[in-house]
Amino acid sequence: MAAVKLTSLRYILPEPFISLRRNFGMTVAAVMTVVLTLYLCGIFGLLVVNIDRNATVMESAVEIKVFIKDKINQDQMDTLSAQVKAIPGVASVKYVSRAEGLELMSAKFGSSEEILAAIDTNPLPNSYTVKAESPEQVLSIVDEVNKLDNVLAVRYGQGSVEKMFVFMNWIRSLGSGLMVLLGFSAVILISMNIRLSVEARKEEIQVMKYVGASNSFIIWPFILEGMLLGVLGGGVACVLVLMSYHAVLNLLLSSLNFLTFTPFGAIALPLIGAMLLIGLLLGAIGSAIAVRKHVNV
Amino acid sequence: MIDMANVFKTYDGGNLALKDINLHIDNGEFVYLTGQSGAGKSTLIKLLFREIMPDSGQIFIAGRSIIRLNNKETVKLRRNTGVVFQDFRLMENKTVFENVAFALKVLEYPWNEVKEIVPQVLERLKIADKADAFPRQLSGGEQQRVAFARAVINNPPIILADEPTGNLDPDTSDELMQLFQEFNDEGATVIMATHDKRIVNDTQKRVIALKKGEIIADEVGGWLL
Repeated sequence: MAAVKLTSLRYILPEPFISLRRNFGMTVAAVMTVVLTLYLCGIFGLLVVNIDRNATVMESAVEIKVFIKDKINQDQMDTLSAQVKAIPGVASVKYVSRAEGLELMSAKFGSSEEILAAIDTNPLPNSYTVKAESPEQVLSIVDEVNKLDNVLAVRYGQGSVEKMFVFMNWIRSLGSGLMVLLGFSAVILISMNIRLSVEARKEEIQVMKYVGASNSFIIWPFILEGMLLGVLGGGVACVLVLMSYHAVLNLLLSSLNFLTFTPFGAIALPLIGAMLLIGLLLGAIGSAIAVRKHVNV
Repeated sequence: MIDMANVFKTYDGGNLALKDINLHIDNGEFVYLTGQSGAGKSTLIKLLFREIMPDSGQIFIAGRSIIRLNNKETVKLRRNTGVVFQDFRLMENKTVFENVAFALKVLEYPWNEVKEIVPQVLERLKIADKADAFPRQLSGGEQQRVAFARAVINNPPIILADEPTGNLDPDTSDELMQLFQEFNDEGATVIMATHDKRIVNDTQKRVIALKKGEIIADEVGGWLL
């Protein structure tokens, strides 16, 4: 696109504002499209971010229980502890004595007197609670631990862990896929809408050509107009998304306290930036595509 | 100044619009293109400002072929050619002032000159009081004056007109013709396609008569068909 001279710039810059005001109906329709699509994108984005956050939290909570044979001495214990720590991918190893284990267990099942009463002796062996650096490493760690001496048994939630990983990855892929799809349809919707408004002013473009307007003199006001539309829509969508998120947080934080949410403050600025930028780009690209068709001299 | 040599033009679907057109128009001439609808008048006008391209043949303006022009040269050609249409073709979302000023803005006239020149021209064409009106608020005659103002604002050497009086009543037509005459007197070459027998007979200019895409007569006088 040709460079625009300073005098032209002075004439071009106010054009989009005048045009948006005078084509008010079209403006409202286009802004609404941007608002709607970006709002959906924003809500979905936040959903994915939070699902991912919860998935990460849940994954990091996956523990491997290594039960130790009874009647081993302190040296053997230390050796085993060092061996487990040395396995690649192990993040932490924590010793849990049989007494602590029982306490944890009774806490889990509710400290009901009957259960405790039913158990005369503590059936639990001493154990290590091992955490992996990443959930994918759990299985290989289990394999390694099984090879070690003095290990009574290894427990890691067996099948349910694998299922959870598959489920989490599935949610992530689905989320990313839907985001891409939504973004794509947003581009199409917005450029179609801008194309409509350009189409309606096809004759105006024709006239501009008759009086000898250069291509850049014709194109730039439309591109700026698209950008303005996009930023306007992005801004409104952004406010709506933030308001929705704020409301949802207030509602869910009290009732679903086992879930964790990305705090409002952490999400606000990146979201505002991203949505304004996306709106700007969508508007610019949409109108550039739409207007280019009509300006070939 | 304007020369056409062996110009042929066919539209999609094979309709022959112009057939072997050869003509020469001098600087400062006032020429009517006459003929029935479909005779090729509009096509000839459109060729002169490169709205369409001929299938074959050559077109020269001021000694330069306008067949092979890049974007920049095309823009320059249009800036030296004022065009007036039967349906006015004003920008509906711009005021009278803005419609006329636009032609100066694209030429990168500084704003203080635009502010000075546009009111002068509107004054001369007796539409100064409509400066802030939108085209839809004007009568046909007024709209055509605005279109005329836009076409002549930068004093182009060539003024093309395609049935400019087609939508106007006789009195309004005469006033508009007066304007064309004034700018022609000041040196502009005027080429006007028309089937308005009355104005052609009234003004007694050179008339190029077209029939089915061919020139069948070319002489000074009244209506030839």
